[in-house]
Amino acid sequence: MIKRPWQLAHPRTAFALMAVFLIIFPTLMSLIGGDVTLASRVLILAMFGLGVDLIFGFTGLLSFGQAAFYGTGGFVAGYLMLQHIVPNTLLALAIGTVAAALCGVVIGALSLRQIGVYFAMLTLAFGELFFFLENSPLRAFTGGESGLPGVPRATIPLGFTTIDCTSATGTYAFIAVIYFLGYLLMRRVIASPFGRILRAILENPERAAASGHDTLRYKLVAFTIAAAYAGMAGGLLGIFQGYMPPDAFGIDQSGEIIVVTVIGGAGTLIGPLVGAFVWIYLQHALQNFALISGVWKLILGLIFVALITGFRRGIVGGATALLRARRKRVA
Amino acid sequence: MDFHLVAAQLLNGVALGAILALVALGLTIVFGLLGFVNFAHGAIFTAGAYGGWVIYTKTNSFVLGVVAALATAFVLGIVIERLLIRSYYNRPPEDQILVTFGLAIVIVELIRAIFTGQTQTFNTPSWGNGVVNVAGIFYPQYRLEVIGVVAVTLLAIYLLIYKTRIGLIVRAGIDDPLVVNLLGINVKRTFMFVFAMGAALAGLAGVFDSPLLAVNPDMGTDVLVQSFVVIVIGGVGSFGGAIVGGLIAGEIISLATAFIPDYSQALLYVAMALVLILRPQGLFGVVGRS
Amino acid sequence: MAILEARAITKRYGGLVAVDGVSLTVEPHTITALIGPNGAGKTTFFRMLAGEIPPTSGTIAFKGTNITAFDVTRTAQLGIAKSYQISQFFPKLTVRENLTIPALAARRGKFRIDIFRRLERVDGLDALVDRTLAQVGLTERAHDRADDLSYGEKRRLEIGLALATEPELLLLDEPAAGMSANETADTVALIKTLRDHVTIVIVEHDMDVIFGLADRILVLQDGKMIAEGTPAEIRADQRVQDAYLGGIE
Repeated sequence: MIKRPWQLAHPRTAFALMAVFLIIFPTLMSLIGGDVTLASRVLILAMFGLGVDLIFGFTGLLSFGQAAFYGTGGFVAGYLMLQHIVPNTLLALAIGTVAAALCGVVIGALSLRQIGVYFAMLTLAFGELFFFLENSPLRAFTGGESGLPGVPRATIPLGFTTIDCTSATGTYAFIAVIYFLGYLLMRRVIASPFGRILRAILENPERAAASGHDTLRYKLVAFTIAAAYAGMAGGLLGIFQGYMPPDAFGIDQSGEIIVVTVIGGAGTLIGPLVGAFVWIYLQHALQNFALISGVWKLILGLIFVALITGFRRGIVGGATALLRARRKRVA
Repeated sequence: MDFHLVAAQLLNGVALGAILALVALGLTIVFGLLGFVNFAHGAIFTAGAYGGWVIYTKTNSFVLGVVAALATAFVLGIVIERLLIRSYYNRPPEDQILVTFGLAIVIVELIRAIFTGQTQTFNTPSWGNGVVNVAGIFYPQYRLEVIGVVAVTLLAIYLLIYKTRIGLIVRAGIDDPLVVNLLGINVKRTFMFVFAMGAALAGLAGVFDSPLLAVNPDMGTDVLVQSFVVIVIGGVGSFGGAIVGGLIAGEIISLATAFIPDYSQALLYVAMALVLILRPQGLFGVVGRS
Repeated sequence: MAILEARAITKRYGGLVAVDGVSLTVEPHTITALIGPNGAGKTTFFRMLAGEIPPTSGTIAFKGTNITAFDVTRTAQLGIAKSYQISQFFPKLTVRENLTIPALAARRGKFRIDIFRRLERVDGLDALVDRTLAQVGLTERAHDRADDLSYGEKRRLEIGLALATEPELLLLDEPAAGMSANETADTVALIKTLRDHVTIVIVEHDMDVIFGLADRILVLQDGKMIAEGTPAEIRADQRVQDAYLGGIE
């Protein structure tokens, strides 16, 4: 019986494991020289990566413009919060997510008729378009090259009281809960009939279509979901940093999330989490070693190239393969 | 409307377009002939620029700098092709994109590690200093010379590919590698040569552009993306398309910078998106090429 | 009423005429065979029936509906399924998972955003998959990866993928291609069991398969139809003998 990485544990076990991990993650980070803010960063990137894994790892769509949605969600939510138009954090995030999803529908509708290189180039073009729009014509809203400072921390008004998430730990908790929900949701999507068809599109798109599925529309919905996740992640970034950076848009960010997803393992859902951890932690750990501090990206770039060439399944894929081999031997 | 401003911008567009055409040509040759997408093209541009800068600052000879840039890029192309690209010709396009994208990161970070992220100055060569009176405006001499040199280079490449025996072999090898192989010609080496030639063009553009751009490890990123726009507009695999596309892109950027500066870059990508949606094969491309 | 009516189907590629005015009428619950030498245009004609490429001219009607402009997805939803000459399956999925894909299309239509549904809750899905597995004799291999199957098993999976769409018309493109004599006999037996449920049009080179199965045979050469009739009529037809059968008895 073939077990995919996310099937190795019963869903309830997986959720419990994830919950436990999220609770101990900040402590884990402190033990290895990091701190809770680093953990927050990892989760934000992991959230972004959940969407990228959906379209790339499960559907085979390589988009180089996901930063367009990351930035859109972040700037819309950030602007609404800091201008006190929507002081409610959750509502502002939701609006930012919806805005990103709408952009996803439009860009997806325009791009998804193309495949392969043309699709990649088209998404790249749109990503750059968003970057330059944010930079110049829209700079009244986005702060142009300076970005948007002053994004308030998260608070959740419950009517009778307000949950204060303004501390570093509080912010982490806020992000962790949202990530957990996002992870839950995504697992559900993957396991659904919809998710099965995405995987068929990955394996053999022509056969999927010939079987009677409207593959273009499936891709579009998946693309929109990914855009929504990116938008939520962007919103979380703004809250976390208290500032929305202009380079949330742009090819470097789009490229980074793909590298992170591949290193962690595409098509595993927790790959982006692992990849984000490696990416962020390595950068942090090496910065104290003056000699190689500049080299973390080079190292990860080499690892990335090696993984693409020899071993597509990334860290998580490798780990599950080992686990599977061990189980076979024991059984 | 200020005639001088428009004229200057038009010329700027041609100068910029010339550089873009050169870069795009290297990209389109590899993409069109080998079916291979090279996302590391911008990094090779940067490597060429640095190679040229190192020799230029040491010897104060621009010509030697150009030779160094060509050599750096060409050798880099050969190394990459032999070590990595060769095993990717039959892999899906997503893998090709990813591996060259990763390579780009590696090359750029290597450059950053060696030379630091600081911007280096690349002085305009002495014979390029000064201005020339063109139709009543005073235009930087160097830019005109760039246009000239690029035009000569493009002509040389054209002759090489279309009028020589080597070029014929290259074109035949791409169309039908088996037959060419049977004729005793080494197809692997041909592919390697084509790839390295594409790389050399990027390196050449890099050194030409250095007096105009700032020399830093990230200089190739914008160029890479812009050259994608060029080959999309002009048509993948089309020699003429790279040139016309380059000029169009150059003019869009230049004219927009003068009149609607806020949208100058954005407009370029709008153009690219429009072409991809309405006429994916571009102006001169042929539908159906992988 | 005829289940399929193709009239004057022509396909031109620039100056090349691949299919030239071929007409075909298929009655329900019959097996029709398309034969002809290589390059006769059988594959191209078949591809047009399946909706993969549009005809340059001519019409195709399925149970009275004009499907000439329909793409593969629409024709599949309407009830026409094709099994390919070179097996087109989902390599990394199990056999069961493979068959689930067309079954999902049969049970859910061509598009549904059921992102929160559980797979088990799809009505009749498991039954359809189990039935198809049994039909093509792959029940024991249900949990094996598709690309681990033997060649013959892959060809059976290929037919299964078409069957799992619950078609009324099954287009089989060289189902016995590359098979041993035993495997071919098994395939013929399989097709015989199907004829009660679906109408079949089959392209084949293997004459034993054709003459053992077909109710009607259509012979193509150079894109044109040169003969049509029962196996006995075709066997006796001089034009066919000259063009194709050569010295075969």
